[in-house]
Amino acid sequence: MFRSYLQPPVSSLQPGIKMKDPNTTRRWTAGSILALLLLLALAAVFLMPFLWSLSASLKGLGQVYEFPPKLTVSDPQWSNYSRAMARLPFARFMLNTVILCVSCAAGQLLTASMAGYAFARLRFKGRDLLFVILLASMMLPAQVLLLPHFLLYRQLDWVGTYKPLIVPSWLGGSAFFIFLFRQFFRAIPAELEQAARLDGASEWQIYWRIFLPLSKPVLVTVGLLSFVAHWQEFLGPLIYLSDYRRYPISMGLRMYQSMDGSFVNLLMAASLMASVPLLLLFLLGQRYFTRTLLLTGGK
Amino acid sequence: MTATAQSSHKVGPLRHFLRRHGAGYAFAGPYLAGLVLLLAGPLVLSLAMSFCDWDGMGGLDRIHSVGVRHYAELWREFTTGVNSNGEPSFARLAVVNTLIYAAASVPLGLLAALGLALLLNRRLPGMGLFRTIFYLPAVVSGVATVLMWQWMFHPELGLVNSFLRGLGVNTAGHPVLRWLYSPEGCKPALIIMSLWTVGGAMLIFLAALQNVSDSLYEAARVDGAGRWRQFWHVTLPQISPAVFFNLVIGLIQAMQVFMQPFLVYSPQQDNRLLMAVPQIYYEAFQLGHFGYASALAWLLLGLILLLTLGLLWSSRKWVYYES
Repeated sequence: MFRSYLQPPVSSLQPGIKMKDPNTTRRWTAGSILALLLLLALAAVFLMPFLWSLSASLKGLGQVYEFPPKLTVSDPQWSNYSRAMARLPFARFMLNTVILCVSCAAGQLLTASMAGYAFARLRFKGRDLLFVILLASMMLPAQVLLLPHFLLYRQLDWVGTYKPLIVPSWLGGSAFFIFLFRQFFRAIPAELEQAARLDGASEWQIYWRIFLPLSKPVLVTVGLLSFVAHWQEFLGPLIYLSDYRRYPISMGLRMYQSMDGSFVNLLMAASLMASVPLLLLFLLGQRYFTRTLLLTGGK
Repeated sequence: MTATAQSSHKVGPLRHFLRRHGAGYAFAGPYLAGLVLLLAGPLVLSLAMSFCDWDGMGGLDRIHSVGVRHYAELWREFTTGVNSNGEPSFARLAVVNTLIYAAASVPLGLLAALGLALLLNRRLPGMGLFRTIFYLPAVVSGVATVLMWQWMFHPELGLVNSFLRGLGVNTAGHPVLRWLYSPEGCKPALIIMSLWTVGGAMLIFLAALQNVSDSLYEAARVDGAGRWRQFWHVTLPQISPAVFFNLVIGLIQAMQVFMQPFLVYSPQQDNRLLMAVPQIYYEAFQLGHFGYASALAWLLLGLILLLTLGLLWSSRKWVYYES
């Protein structure tokens, strides 16, 4: 979960920057054809785990354990998907996950953008020092905080509830997101803000009515990254949740793994169903977020 | 200016301070609360706990100080390889395994990411699609994809060994090719799995490659530099900040690997996939050794910090920053 937050330092995040083409002319040299073939082969390798589990998810039990295994399926068993959903409360796990993800993403979008606004556009004592601390905290390995967080939430009697999983997202949530918002807000022209200030707009109105509506790319990026990160979150639910009816899908899949050890086809069907929402989100949002992350540069 | 001066004259110094700084603190408020409650406080608490004993049950009044005992115990385990019960030290094994995993997966991951980025950094049709395909696993990777990989690596029914058999390899003959079900094969399998998610690092390299100015390549060509020399003397120095960034992030991530070894555990691995964070989890939440686990967490933090600082120090020699 720390992983997806840690993205590179943002050098230039102005909206509308054009990427430079590496070569000005398109040439079909032997080298480029070779590269294309290599890319095709690599793309097949990268997609293979999905195809292999898709194939397993459609096989009958006899076929799954057939040796030698085949990628193709002669008689696809689509009912495996409904059987996988019936074996454990799959829909419940998915609903829990959506509840967790939406609650966390909403909190991070609000509080990280507010903090980003403060660091970008407001003056307050200690701001620069706090910003250095923010940057340093991105490098801190999360596991040192695992045990004291447990102690804290146990003391608050929050263990067994969603609070330990959601509340941190409403307290800034992620240093990287705050950083991303700050970089984006800094690039917004000051004239807009000054004009609004002359019209008597409050600080909140300037943030809410001017900055946020101009920040769609970074809002989409942070929203998606946050959603994906919480969809995959495993260690938190493992520590804080014990009632399986409250499990998110990450923990639910682990139940499939241990219960259905000999039903690989159902396990693969459940794994694929758990990945499809992320796949769709990624494809819908990638226009925004590969671009935003590409613009974050390597410098 | 005069307006502020007048108002400060009328109201007290606190009101004046709040008027100037209040909005900033208010907007940063949630983050500042988190900074104190979820970062600074817990850090202090964690350090304090590493000098105490607590079994994770009962009230906090059952916490009691034991001084440096846990650190002394860890020191003994790391120097002699034996714990206080005379058994082989799991803590040392976990840290050694983690270091081996990081030492292999981080450089290989960097090479893979750079290789993909170089392949994508050309003007050919379909580059956007390929970029999506290579980045996709990094986005969707989680419990579901680890379970898919576990099936990929099945010694008899997995695709990896089917493919190798197709190439004429006798997969039954090598213990390494039992992958997640053998002591020899489980680390290579985990490292291969980690290579599948290099998409994030690849994007960073791609952005860096596209930022290299064409004029530098032209100048190199004028000087008669071939492709290889251009790569070595222009591309690599220009993207060295991205290399450094990916190296540090990759290292921190690899040292904290948890979910993958946790999910693919099998007794046949002979504990070769016992990693540091799972060991911290196990000591604290299964055995109730919260103090000892905290000390181990701080030891790991110190190790990561040391490695990161080492990289930072060495970066002065090989990372090129435009002034």
